[in-house]
Amino acid sequence: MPKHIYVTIVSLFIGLALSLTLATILGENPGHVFLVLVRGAFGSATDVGYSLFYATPLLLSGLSVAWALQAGLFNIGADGQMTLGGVALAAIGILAHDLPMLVALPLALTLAFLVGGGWGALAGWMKARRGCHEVLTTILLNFIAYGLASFFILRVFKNPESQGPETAVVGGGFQIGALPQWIGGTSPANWTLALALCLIVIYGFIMGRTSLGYFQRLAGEAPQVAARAGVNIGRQTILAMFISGGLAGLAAASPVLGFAFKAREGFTSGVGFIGIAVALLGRKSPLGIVFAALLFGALTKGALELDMDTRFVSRDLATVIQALIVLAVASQVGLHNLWRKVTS
Amino acid sequence: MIVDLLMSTLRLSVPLLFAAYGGLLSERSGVANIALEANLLFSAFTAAAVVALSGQLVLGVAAGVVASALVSLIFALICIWGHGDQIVVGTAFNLLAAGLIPVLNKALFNVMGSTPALANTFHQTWPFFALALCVLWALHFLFTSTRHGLRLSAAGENPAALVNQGVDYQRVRLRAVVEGGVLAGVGGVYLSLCQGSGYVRDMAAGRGFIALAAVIFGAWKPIPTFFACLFFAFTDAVQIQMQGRSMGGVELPNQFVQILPYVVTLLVLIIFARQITAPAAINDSSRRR
Repeated sequence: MPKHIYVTIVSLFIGLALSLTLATILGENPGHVFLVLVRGAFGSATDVGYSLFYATPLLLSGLSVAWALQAGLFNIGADGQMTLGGVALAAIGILAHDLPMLVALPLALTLAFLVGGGWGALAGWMKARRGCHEVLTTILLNFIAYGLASFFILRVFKNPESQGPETAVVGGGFQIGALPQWIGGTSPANWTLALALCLIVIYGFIMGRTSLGYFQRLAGEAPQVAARAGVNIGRQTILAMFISGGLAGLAAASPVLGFAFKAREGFTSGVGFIGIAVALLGRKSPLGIVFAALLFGALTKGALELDMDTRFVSRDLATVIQALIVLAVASQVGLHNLWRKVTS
Repeated sequence: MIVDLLMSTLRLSVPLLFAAYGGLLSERSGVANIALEANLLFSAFTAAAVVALSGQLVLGVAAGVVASALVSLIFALICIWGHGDQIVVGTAFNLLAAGLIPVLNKALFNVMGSTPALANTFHQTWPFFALALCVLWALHFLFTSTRHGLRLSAAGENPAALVNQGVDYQRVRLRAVVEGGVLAGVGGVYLSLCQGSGYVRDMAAGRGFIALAAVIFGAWKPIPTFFACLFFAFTDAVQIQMQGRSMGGVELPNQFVQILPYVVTLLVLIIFARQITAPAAINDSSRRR
């Protein structure tokens, strides 16, 4: 078995074991918690559909973070880029309400890509031209994006018929259909899933087979070599952040156009941040991202049931598990050394 | 109005100052620390939870600081002993804070978002601010005239030099990060026991990151970092004063006012980041195997 699959399995095990230990300390039966998670995620066709529904934006936000990582950049701003992408989707869906689907969807998705990408490119520009570390700028840009989104949702595109913080409903041509019942049951799992999977295949092709992918990876892995070879590192950085941001913008398609048909405040529910965990656990590889996103989607769905079926833990346990898995993946060298010491 | 603004600046500067001190210690020793936000959140929550359960302010302060030190200890162990990328580990800690605090909150108080409102809190800002000034002096002294300070800087600039002297630079870093955690913990305690009365979900609101920007703006030196924090606290104070007011007859949307501190922080970074160099060996543990 390749070493990295082994690392992944061990990390998953550590993350789950520590979280169940925590649940035990808090007074739950770990077996019960685990069972609730599994049953919640896979109990019925509809549960599976919900797991796929939660996995869909994670596929795209994970892809977003992975693209930036390929170019040696750490995009913590996927959540803000996704937020603005979602506002753009809702905005065009309200402004161009009556467009037919064949025009409407390509237009909306392109716009979301451009808006999210522009927001990402801003951080790329700050890195390339002004020397600001992208980790700090993307985080600050997140807070600004939330503020701007709140302005557009509450002041510009507000739903007049609703008390909630949400925009009006987008036109029928903008609404992405649900997956057939034999896949998703009666869940809101929608065709964005197919779009996400296509983009992941394209990502694998670009990174492995094209000069674009080659230069992006070269700029990330060996910037000095790239610069000697005449690659414009600054331009690669801005391009990488643009594409990464654009993919994050598309991550808004499922919650906004496939489910709510409007943008709600806070609709990302942290998907941009969990995308970081997806990209790291999936080790930037297409198959890895699919695996990690499906796993974390199932975890999110399973954990929703914790609110109802347990007394002492809540759905937030999913985030704890994800964080612990990332920590386990990150400390693999230390764990490996420890393992060697114990076994020798 | 001006006096209000200045007093408000001082009040808002306290959490930034302590978080920035924590970041300064950690970063000068070569450990990039974006987990400061998690430090603030964990200490704010722990302090509020302990006061809510015990009624003792002093216990709350101690628990908050210890919690933050513990967070930093685990963070440093994973970065140093686990050879984790410091940015990845820091991100994971922020994720952990976002998940673990609500879980603990539900287990302890059976509510989702925040701890119960506290009856007894600190009413005065000045002891905290005075402490911040003392720590400023101590940090200045540490870096200019102590052996620990010198080693700490060397661990961040040129760890090989320490290795040649037979000093374990990883241990120097561990100590610096944990000391930084203690300081950042005071900032978190202030948030929930003085500025607010109890823990509210995400109450640090990015202050850990703004503090980090202040460290960069202050070129990783204590006194300039202090003034950078005051500057960012001032923009926050302006933001609060401007809320709901109209400018020349036009009411500025609150959303635009609220993002002011983040915009100003970004602008400062854009304008000045070029001229400032980071400690040379920052985030090298994942490369050096």
